[in-house]
Amino acid sequence: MSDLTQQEHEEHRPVRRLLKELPKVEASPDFEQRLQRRIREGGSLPASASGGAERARGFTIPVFAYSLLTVLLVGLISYYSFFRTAETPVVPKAVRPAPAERRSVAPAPTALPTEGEGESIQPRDAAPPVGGNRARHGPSAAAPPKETARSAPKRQPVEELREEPLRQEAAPVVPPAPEPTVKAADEAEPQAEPRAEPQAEPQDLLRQKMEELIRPESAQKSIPLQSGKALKEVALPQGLIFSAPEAADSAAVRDSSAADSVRQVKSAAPRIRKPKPRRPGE
Amino acid sequence: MADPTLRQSDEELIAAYQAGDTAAFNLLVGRYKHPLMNFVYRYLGDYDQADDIVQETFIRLYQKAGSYRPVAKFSTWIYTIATNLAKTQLRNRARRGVFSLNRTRGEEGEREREIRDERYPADRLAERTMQQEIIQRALAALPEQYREAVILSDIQELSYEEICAITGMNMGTLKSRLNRGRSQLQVLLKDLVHE
Repeated sequence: MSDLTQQEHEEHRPVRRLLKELPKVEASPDFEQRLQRRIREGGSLPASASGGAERARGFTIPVFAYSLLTVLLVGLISYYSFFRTAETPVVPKAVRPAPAERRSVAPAPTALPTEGEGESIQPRDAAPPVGGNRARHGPSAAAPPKETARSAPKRQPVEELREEPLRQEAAPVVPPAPEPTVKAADEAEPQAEPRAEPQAEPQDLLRQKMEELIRPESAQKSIPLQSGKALKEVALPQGLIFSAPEAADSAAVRDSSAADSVRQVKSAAPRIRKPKPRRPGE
Repeated sequence: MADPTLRQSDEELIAAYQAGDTAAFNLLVGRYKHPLMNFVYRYLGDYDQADDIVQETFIRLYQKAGSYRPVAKFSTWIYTIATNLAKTQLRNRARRGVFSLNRTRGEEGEREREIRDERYPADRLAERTMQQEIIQRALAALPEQYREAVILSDIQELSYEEICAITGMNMGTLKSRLNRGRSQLQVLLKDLVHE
């Protein structure tokens, strides 16, 4: 030991003496019994002594399992929601009004779709036939606005796409059918249509929509199904139809439940299947 | 005639326990429970926590005796386990930022325990108890690494080599820490030292 160390040793002698004089603390008399008991029980340290790490280890596996389960559930829900959303564009396509109707009943269809997204959803939901279908596809009602916002800059081309085939469609539809009963009605169509359409019964409107449903939908195919904009723009004229002069009638239809509207559509379907043979001549 | 087990070294006992002799384990517990209790108590300053730590040390010995290799002394090995557990406990306590209620209870327990110390006459017991409390508080006030070195050297009276093996310090670091620790204690205990 060096001189310096020896000197330090001497300096600290009183402190060392004090520490040495401290009484020895002993384990309690039942120490070994408690130890044996703990060993038999599995030798776990009490929470106070084991600290957070031990406690956390106990929770790690269940927490991980629950997290994984939650992620799986969310994934499943998202997966099914996606497929349900993908189905919805079919519904607006089916109930889209004929071009002639739109010209007569909805005088300015281009102005309304450009309104705010939240406003545009409301009339869509209010329209009975559409609302009836949409009621079943709840999550899809919220999805389109986002997509609409994304596809907003492309609105003009899509509208053109929509309008153009509809105008093309209008020509074959408007000419009178070979059947005399239909012909009588169709003869006056170009002039009488604007006046006659607003007074049409809601059931007639449904029938017209069903016609659209049966008609080959070249124009609708041009509108991408995944586009929320397409959904919105197609749906809006429905709202306009039901806000036409027959407010009471349309309100009645609007108030009817989804099931009623579906039933109406189904009942109208056999009647409007008749015009089908006209097509091959077009 | 002396019991042959009393003459067995720690290393022989642990070897016997590794071979399946549970009586050897009990002998080791009997040999080390008081020294370990004294060390851990002085290190933590809480009797109940010290008791838990020493029990856990023996549980580790019971469960992991197979990991002991005779290259090191058994005393070094068991002190290393106890030191590590005590350090973990100290850090957990610091993280919680509060002292447990046991601490107060432990101090009271300590007082009762030390009152039974019969080395001093009854009239000096109160003074002696107070002195021990002051020393314990001074130890608790030392930085962790100084405290560890001072307790192992001056209270447990282990050799420098053993302390180096337990703490993993080299000799120079140990001497330096011992010197600083004792100097700090001298300042903290100046009233007791000059008596």
